Amino acid sequence: MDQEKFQEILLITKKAFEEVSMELLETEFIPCQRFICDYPYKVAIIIGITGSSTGRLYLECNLETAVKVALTMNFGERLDEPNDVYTYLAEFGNMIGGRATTYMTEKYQKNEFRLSPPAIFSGKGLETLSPNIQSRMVYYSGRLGRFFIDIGFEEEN
Amino acid sequence: MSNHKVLVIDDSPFIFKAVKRALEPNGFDVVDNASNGKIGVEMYDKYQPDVITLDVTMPIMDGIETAKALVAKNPDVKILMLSAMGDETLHNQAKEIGVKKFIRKPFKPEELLEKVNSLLGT
Repeated sequence: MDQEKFQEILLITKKAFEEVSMELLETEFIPCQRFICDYPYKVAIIIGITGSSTGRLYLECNLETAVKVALTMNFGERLDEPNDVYTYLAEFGNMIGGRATTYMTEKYQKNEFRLSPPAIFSGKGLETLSPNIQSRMVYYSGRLGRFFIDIGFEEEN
Repeated sequence: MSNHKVLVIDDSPFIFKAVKRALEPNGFDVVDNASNGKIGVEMYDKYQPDVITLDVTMPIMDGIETAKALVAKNPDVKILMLSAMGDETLHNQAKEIGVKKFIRKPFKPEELLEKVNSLLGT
């Protein structure tokens, strides 16, 4: 993927994240300086991108932020099940991915980008690696905490 | 006040809760939540809802297949499709099947209420 297109896709993804956060959580996340994701317990949302271009959208936060997002989505009420944190985060990721894909489809050709359902990973000391991926990262901070977003596409041979 | 029955077919508990909060204060009876299309089709027979809110991406049976099954049961079924994607191809495909309205997620309560009322012609 050429660098200009990749930059446009990054901007689209940022726009989708900022819009969905505002509409769903009524909170603003602002791009911030790179931070080290050394929190002990991570929650990661991974959404596969298929179609003519293949890649993935990766969102990561700490457990505390994930709980705050889930509680906000649950209208401030207690969650019914502890695992609801993950289903709510998956829906949050799905909305961001869906919005980003819509914008990408509007800008580029139809069916270039399709999404897989989100997968959630969480754990203590979770490390993620993405070999053979050309990716760009953006860091966000807001009243609910911090998010790290990484969008990547398969390297072309 | 309406006493119309609404069935939610969505694998996200958040959407069920959001639909309930938007519609129940306005007199709607949000009868149940099916976590996939297959269960949704079974619940349609059980509840005979006036309106169905239908997700697109679900396990076992997705929104498009579910819409086909529901329209086969009742060509006049009133389906409001909820999707995170505003994909024109998807919308056209759903329209051809008989889906009458769409709403993009996340949605505002008043936006959902307006779409449901519009489906019911009220």
